[in-house]
Amino acid sequence: MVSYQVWNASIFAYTISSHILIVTLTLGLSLLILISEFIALRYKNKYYEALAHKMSIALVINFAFGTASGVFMAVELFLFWPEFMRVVGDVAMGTFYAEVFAFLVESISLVTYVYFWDNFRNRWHHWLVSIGILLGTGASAALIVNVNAWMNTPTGSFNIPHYLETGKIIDVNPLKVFWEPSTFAQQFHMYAAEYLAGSMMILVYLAYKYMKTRDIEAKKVYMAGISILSVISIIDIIITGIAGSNELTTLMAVEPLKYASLEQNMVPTNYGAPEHIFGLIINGKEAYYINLPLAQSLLAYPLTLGHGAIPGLSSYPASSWSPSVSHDFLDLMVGAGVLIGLFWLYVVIQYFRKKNPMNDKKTLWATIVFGIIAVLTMEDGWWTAEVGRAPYVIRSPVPGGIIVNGVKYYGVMDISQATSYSPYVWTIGIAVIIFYLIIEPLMFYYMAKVLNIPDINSELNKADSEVNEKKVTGIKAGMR
Amino acid sequence: MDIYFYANTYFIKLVIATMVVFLGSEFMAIFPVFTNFKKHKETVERHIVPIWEITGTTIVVFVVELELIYSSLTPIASYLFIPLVGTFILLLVLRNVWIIYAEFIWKNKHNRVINSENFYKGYLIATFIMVILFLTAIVTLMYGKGIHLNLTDLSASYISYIPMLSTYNYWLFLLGTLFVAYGLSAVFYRTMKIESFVPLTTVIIGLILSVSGLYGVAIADKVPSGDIYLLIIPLILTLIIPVLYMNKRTTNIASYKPIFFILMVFAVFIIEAPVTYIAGGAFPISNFASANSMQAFNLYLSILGGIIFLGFMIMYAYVYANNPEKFGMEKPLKKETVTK
Repeated sequence: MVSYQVWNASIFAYTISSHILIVTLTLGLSLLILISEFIALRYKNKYYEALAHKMSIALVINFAFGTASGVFMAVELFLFWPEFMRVVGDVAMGTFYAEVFAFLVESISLVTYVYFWDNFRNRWHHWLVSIGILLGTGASAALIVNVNAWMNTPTGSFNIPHYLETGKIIDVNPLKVFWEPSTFAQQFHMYAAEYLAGSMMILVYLAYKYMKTRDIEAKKVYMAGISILSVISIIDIIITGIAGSNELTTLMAVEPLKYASLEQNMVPTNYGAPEHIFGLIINGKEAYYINLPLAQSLLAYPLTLGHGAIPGLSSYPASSWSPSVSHDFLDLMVGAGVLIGLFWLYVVIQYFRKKNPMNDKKTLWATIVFGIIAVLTMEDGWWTAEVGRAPYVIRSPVPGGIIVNGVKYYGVMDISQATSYSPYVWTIGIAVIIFYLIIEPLMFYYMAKVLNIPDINSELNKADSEVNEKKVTGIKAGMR
Repeated sequence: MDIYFYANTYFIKLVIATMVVFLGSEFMAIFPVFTNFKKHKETVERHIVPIWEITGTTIVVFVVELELIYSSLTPIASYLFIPLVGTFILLLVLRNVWIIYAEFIWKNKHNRVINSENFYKGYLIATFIMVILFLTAIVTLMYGKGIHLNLTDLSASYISYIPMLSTYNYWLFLLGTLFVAYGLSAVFYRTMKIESFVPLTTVIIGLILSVSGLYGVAIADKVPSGDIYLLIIPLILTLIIPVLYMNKRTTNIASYKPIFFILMVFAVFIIEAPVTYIAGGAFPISNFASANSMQAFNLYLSILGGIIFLGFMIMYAYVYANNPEKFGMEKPLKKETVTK
């Protein structure tokens, strides 16, 4: 029999994993539109103009599904995690509220951008609206990640010893949730990974369409998108590597227990910690791993040639360890990230050899494969972060655990305390599964349909007149 | 409770009023679309297409604001209203999907089933039911009929809708709202000639019915009798619209969207303002308030966010009005184009 905790946690993991696909695509599209329209106006290029317009419609569709999914998820939070949401409501709701205003900026900018495309006499003003979309979407993502950072390192937002003793919340500082010790590292990693995955997700579609279409003009539109997204991906994979490394270094300092779990370090060391690739913990011992001697210490302390403290699980009770699969998630994420990096390195080398790699069919197929891998890696990254926090929902504010009345707590709230024991969760959970199983394929299918360019010539004529300021009238705003 | 809490209670009521009016403006489109889609399509589309996303966002603002100001009420409300909330969310999803389909439908434009018209109708039916559910939830929460709330054991709490549905005040309010919506729809979407008495008559009938129902609900919810007389203000504000419409010189003002929105937001706000209890007066809403520091934070952030929102709405309105041919004040209907 599945317990309430396992059921609720699984359903919510499923929900976030599904919702995050929409978020990732939104971030990728908002950046693509901004750059594409900029190039279109700057160089009077009709292909980039047509691309920006098509992608903005995709963004509206994404927005429609995303809003519904977001509201669905918010309600699910209340129904599945009532005690957690009580604490969030009292302590950390400010960042959710700020997110609402970011969301408003996003929605008003998007509506203005798409539906009133033809209403701008100065097209650069129209382009400025795309900055509103980018800022709105970016700020929304960041403000939600704030809550996650607070869950990992809740320092100073309320009187935690008092809460652990009495269950009551006092001394609330609503501003603290905006900046916790883990916030910067999480934000940095999130932005880098999300824009990478979002860009590569769109690349999958564009690369496929580019190979499929026989129309030369349509190919040029798709290639415009491929060019922008390839450059973003190449820059972003480097930033993601740096952000990931920074995230692990931060974890080591502010969340040593999580770090030890993710790295599967059984004992703390000061020198010579190996890197264990994959593996499991069975009866308190590691098994089925590949050993790379010294690697972890060298990666963590390259300047001291591996001399420095590395946390280990033996410093903490086994009940506070996260499931060992979180370590496998981490290795999978790092491994896939390295592969994606190698792919883009190959593209760059080919480019400098003047091979025009993104015109090559094999490279385009590889782009599709690595695009899918990038999205899965982004999902895997979230599983790493979330499973790595288990069994806690809100961790201890002190890295090594907090002592209250002689008892040491490694977390402020664990899953069993946060979860709902209402019998409704079973039926709602099934509804959630069905909801996303229907809604997401439908969204992608519909988007693909709308993004088709059946009449490329009229699309490009309109784009041409837009960028060259020869306005065509009689076409419905936003729906040419 | 301090000044921040009181300021926030009015702020959330303003948010609710905005949400209701945005949603209501879409809700009213059901009448022209179902009477003559082809004729009114353009007029309805002109309003709905650029607004439906903002309506969805106002719903999100309301949910988050509620949780921020009344942190212990939201889990209770979610729990008590699970069937309504669940259906509301499902309809929100369908609404978004259908309007998007209606807007960007890519083929089969003349297909008898899959076409823009049917998607618009589906979207409007979903919006219509959402509004009915919302009104039902609000009246239930105020009236308290059938609410079994156990604050110490939430799993023992539930709502029985039978007592609520057998109350005439609920039906009076609901029916009255439909009449008002029908009358205002004719003005908002200009579906009737200006000489017609139908908008004014239906609004008057609707107001009589809904105010009677609301009066009963307000009495049950311990709204002070002195405050109940404030209902005269929304009553006048609602009546002004069809009256202005009937006068040739003021017809344009009556169906000018910004004026309509401002009048209606104010009217709804006045209706909500005196409500301080829930569940038929059993619980003062202040019992569910968040900590003082959160209230202060909320107020400052609301002011900041409100300014940003206002700034963006001004930009929106400016761009909206930038194309007089498409989005400016509409010309009054000529007699020959009147819906019969």
